[in-house]
Amino acid sequence: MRVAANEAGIPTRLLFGGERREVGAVLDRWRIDDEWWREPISRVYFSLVLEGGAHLILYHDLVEDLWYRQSE
Amino acid sequence: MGHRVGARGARRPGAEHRGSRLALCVWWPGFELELERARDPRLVGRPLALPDTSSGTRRTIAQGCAAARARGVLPGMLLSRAIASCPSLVLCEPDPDAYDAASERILDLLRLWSPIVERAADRGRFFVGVDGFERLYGPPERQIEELLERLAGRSSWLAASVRLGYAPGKFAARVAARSAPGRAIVFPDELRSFLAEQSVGVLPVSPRMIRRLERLGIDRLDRLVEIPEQALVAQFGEDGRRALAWATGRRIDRVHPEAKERPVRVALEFPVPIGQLDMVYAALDRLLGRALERSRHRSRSVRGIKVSARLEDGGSWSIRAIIRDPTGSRDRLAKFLRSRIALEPPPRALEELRLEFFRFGPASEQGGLFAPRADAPRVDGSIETRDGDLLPALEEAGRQLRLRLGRGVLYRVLELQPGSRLPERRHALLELA
Repeated sequence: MRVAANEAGIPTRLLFGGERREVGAVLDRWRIDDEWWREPISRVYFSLVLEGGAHLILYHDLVEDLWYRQSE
Repeated sequence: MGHRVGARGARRPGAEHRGSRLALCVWWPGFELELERARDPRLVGRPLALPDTSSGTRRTIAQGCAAARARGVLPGMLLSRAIASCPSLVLCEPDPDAYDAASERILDLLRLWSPIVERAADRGRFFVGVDGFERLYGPPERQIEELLERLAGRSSWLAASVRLGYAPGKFAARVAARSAPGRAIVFPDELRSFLAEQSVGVLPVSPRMIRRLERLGIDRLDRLVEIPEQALVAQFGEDGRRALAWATGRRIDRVHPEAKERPVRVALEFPVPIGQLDMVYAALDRLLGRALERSRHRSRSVRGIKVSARLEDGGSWSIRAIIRDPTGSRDRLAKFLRSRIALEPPPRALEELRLEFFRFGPASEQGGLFAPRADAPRVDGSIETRDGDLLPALEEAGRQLRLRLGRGVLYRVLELQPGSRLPERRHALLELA
């Protein structure tokens, strides 16, 4: 998934459903760090509303430095 | 947003699923060798070592006690060299079965004290969640006294040789436990200053990264935290970012309860000890068949598996593995175990072979495991069914839809780890057969 983020790491724009969409609002943000003793998991989640009203949850995988959409 | 249970999940009820922020690391250094001493008092005061059996050749030292280390016996050293350095060295016959059994007993004991207990990857180290214990037992010192009394009630050795580290998160608790003999308490407001004094060797990152840091003159965490995050990431990648998060105390790893599964155990005793691997594999196939037939686990796949044996002339041998892709297939399990045994074959002939499934995964993808049971009860007036059962009408609808659309469109929601912090681990969709 392609996501553009600002300096604070907050997504501002993304490619969604084949088209570029602006992030209208960040409803929530949280972080999960786990399993450092095995295969570390480190993610920052964002609950977003896109312009136009679509709601989705993304996370930034800090280990791989990749963005994913979390299906609900 | 039903799956928002991340680091800010304190707002969500059901916090018991999220583990404990305050951690107590309970650690017995040299666990295996201390157990050997507890079993045989004649070994007290003598330098002890365990040979490494992982290669099957036993030519190197796996671990030595403090007395052995003081005489130059180090892990990885050739046995011949270790004995030359320390002629009085006693090499113990490894008995992984006994060590695992002792670990289980300690886990049970700790679970009586706290519902949140997690074992570390290395034997002899456990993490106990102590959130809320202040209201039960008072300040941390009193909590530790309470635990020590319980340990002493079971065995004076347990209480006398344990090291305890109390801190926010598992990392700091682990560091605290190894920082001083006895006990070490790190209050949340002291976390950063406590970590600052530690050497970079405490970081759970690759030894290569530690060596590079030391070569760069960064030997303590207070020096590490002075380096900008971007520079660390540029040098060490994600390990650099994580190291900084630990060093600054920003990253707190909670203690998560380890679910206690009822293991499946089967064993085969041989009238004449067997030494050939082909015969071991044949015996293992029989044991796999018996274990998989246990009806209560037919709907589960196997994630954790242990093979152990009583050896001719005493001692035991075991391998323990967590399977990345849990399976209920006998063939796949057999193949997996054979490859592991080929790497770590038993050093002598076997008198008894034992197989244990100690951890289970979701229902397996293998055919038959979800086959609806003809005698399955249904609840009158509802569509509720037991796990693994399909209503005939639903089954027929799925078949018709697949025929029409060319693909399956009906799925079963399968509960995997409902308490997991990672949303995708809680449930899975499994296409209806």
